[in-house]
Amino acid sequence: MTSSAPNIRCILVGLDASPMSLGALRSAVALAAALGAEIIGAFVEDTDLLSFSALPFATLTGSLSPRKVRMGQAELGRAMRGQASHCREALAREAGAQGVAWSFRVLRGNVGKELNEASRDADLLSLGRAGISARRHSCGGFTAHASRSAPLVLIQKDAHLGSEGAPVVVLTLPGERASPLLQVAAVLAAAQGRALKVIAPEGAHRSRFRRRAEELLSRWALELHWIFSRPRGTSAALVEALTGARGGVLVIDADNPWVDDRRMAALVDRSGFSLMILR
Amino acid sequence: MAVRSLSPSKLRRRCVLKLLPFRDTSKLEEPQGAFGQQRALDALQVGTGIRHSGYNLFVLGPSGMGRHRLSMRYVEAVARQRPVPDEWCYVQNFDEPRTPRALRLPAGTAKRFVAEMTQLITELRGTITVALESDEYRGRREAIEQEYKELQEGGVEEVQERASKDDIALIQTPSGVGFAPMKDGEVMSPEEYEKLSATRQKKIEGRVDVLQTQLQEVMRQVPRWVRESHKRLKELNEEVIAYAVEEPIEELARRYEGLPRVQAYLEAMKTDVVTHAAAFLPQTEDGSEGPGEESVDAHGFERYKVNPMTNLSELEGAPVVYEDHPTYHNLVGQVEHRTKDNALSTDFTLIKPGALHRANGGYLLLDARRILMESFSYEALKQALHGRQIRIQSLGQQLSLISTITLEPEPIPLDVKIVLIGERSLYYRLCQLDPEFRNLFKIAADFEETVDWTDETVPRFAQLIGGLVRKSELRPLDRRAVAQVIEHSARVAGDSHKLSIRVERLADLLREADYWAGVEQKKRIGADDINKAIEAQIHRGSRVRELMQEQVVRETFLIDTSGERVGQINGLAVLQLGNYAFGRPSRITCSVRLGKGELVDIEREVQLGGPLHSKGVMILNGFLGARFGQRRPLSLSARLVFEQSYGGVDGDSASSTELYALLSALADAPIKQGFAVTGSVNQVGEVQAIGGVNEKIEGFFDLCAERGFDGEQGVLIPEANVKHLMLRQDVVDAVREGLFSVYAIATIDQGIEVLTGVPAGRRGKQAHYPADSINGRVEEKLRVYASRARASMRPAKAAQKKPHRGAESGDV
Repeated sequence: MTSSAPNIRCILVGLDASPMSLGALRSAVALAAALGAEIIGAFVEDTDLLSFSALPFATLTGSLSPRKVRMGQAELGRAMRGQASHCREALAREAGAQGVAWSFRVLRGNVGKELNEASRDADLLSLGRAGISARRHSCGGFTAHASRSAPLVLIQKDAHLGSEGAPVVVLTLPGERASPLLQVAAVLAAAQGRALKVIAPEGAHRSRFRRRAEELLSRWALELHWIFSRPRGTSAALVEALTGARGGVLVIDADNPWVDDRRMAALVDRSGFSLMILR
Repeated sequence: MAVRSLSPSKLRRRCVLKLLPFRDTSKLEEPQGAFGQQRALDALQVGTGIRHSGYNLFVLGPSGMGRHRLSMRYVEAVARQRPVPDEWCYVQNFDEPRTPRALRLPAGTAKRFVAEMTQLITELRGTITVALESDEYRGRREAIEQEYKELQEGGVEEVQERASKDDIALIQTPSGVGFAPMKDGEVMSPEEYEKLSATRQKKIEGRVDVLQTQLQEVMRQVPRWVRESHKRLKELNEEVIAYAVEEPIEELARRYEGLPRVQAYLEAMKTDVVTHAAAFLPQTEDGSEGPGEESVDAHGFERYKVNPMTNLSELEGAPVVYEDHPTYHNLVGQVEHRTKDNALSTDFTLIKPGALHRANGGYLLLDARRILMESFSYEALKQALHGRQIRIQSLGQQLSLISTITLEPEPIPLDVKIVLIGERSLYYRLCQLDPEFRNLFKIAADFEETVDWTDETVPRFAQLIGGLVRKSELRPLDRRAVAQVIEHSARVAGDSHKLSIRVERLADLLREADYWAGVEQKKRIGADDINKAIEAQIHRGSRVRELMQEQVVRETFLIDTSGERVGQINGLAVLQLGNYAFGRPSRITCSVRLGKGELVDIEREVQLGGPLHSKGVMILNGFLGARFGQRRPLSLSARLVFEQSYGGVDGDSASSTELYALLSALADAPIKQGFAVTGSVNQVGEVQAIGGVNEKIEGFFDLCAERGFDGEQGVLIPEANVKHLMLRQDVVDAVREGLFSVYAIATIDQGIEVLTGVPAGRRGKQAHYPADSINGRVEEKLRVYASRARASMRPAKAAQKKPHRGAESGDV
């Protein structure tokens, strides 16, 4: 348990002016303020949308009216510029209020690819739950497949990373990956002022693991809760922890054998938890 | 028979010391009951005893009588024997919030009910929170939300799947959803699309058109799904909250069995809590409350509070309230407002009780003058008494001064006994001007200002003094001081057979005497301290009197106090300045001449004479006519005037004085200027009683003393006023030494003899007065006037006939 946690100096936030992405921005700014990191806002002009709007039959169907609405290139261009401006203002406001260094980029292309590309320079990619692509992908699917560049990805499910006081839950396994995962979770819990709930496998090394983990986490002076579960019961323990926690943040390792891409997508899409994924 | 001056013993009554068998007042007990106020106490007993409407009381009498204290003491004693009344409180009317409900609670339980409701609110807050944060609730809620989410997403995903089979992507934008052809996993660019064959393009567009129609079918159902999900969530919330709140509310309701309105309120409260379930839900992400629910007002649980109008839990007996600032709102209560977002708002918790609420079931004492001075208060009081209910209405709205939304709380039944305390003039004025007044205030408790000065009342009066001394924490009075106070009380009453029981004035004298005793470091207040206090009171108020006397001494204001003058006499008037009254001499003169029998009152001619004064002068005319005008017409013209009088003159106390001046002028008999006279007269020449006799005597006495006594000076007063004499000791001493005299006069004849030294004269056998008597000289003067008048009439008659004769001759 000696590997160090990723040093978070730069956080990239994917922005599309939706309430969820602006919620992700607030959380990212708060985290940046706590960690002394800089923040980069990225707005992607979706080429899929641009192509769509140029088609002669590009019309939209909404839920408020049976009328089909023509979506032209000019209208889409204006809408995108407006959204980018709105995102920039929100970033300036939030970061300015917290005294966090910030910058803003407008990219053009496929949203997933562009964010992946941009996040190569970042330590953490922060995303809202929905609205990240014109193409109707599930957020979970995007997270599982597309975001592989940043060492850390934070997918926010609500406006405030769960209700006030909701814990940070970390699902960990023994091994080298345990230390960085625990430290990432501790950093997040300390930055948010929350308790840390650790779910770890039951076994012969349980006491040793716990002792070493507590030594590792002692520098953050966190309120710690432990759940030990047999490997076969980890899914059940996870469900129990998530249910009992009433929202919050789940910190997981992307390489955790019990949380494959399919399960991770389901977690992102269906649980009430925001996710911090360590690559 | 010659009139003799009064002996000194008649001028001031002494208090007999043997009636005061104590060393000082320290051990005297207060008199039982209200000393000298039995009539008022009887009225209070009847007024407080009859519970029917209209039997409210008006306690009347001059201020300083202890009306407030005595009324309060009596009413408090009565109230202690009566049960503590039921209590009232206001609660939310859930059906009509503008009309808060009034709940009646048994005596002493309002405070408990408020506490229990507060406790219930706390419990409900916790119970509801626990219920809504329970895993079970969250699970059921999420299941419903998920069900409709899946319905919506499932529909869209189905269309998406169909689209992807044709290599068409579903594109999502903030404005809606569209479809676009794909190529190599990307949306086809317009250029690539243009390169497609027309058939291919037509096929794609046709397919997109079909997909859009299918998507529309899905979208069309979205609002219905939203409505359904909201309905099911609302039902879930109501089910969960109804179950959570049922037991706590019913438990409280069981404690108030037998109070149907309380039961009904708690039932309505339960329904309201359930109906407004959304208000108790955790806030959603955008800060709004739960979807589609009618929200509780901004105060949340405040609406379930209880606003008590009274707190009688500590009370023994019925409440007794004295409202010393009876404004409209202090009387009937008011609905206050709070400012929020620059607007005024209110609710039932801002209903403030008035004095009527606090006194309901008991007694409310009010100062009559104050309530009449306050706008709308008197009318509001009458309205409440007529309607037998307290209705809180905004004065601003009644007068259309404000248009802010306010409340109309349910009226509360009123059962109160009002005790108005005021002056007599107010009572009589209200009786005269307000027809409703007598129906609402049927009992008048009239306070006496005096008690008889008898051997029985003296010890009780001493007890009254002792009580006042103890209450004000003063030095005790020795028995001579008590005697002095008793004598002074008779002087204040203006009657040697009465004692003033104006306790406030009496207490003032005792406090001031205590001050003087303190200056000399005495342990007891002595008679000299009482005298010093009286003298100091007089001195403080006598600046104007001294100025006036100075004017006389310096002969700016002409008053003779020696010598003799025909048709000139000294009258006496009383001036009241604040609490101080003093006598002032005035010169009255009379001139006579031949005339037609008119008696001219110059004061009246110039409109300086009041009606009573004019009446007195007319009585003189009647006297003259009756005594001297039986055989011949009165052919005189007399003019009477108050010399150097520049203000108004009223009252008839100078009518005898004016008659003396008239008789002097007619008889050509000089009047001794060392005398001053007071007294009214009737048509047969009897001298009648007047007011302020002591002040009048002392006023002339002081002037004579200033100029120096000559042994011939004195005052003539009506015989009927002798019983009122309580003169200053220096006046009594001067009379004893023969320096000054006071004559008690019964008739004008007695008076004129004293004033002129000439007999008045009685009619002889020939019905004539003796020639050398006053009446004889007057009769002779009037006879001469009559004959001259007849003589003067003859040439005039002759002159009237001449033209007639001339006409006749002319005609001839």
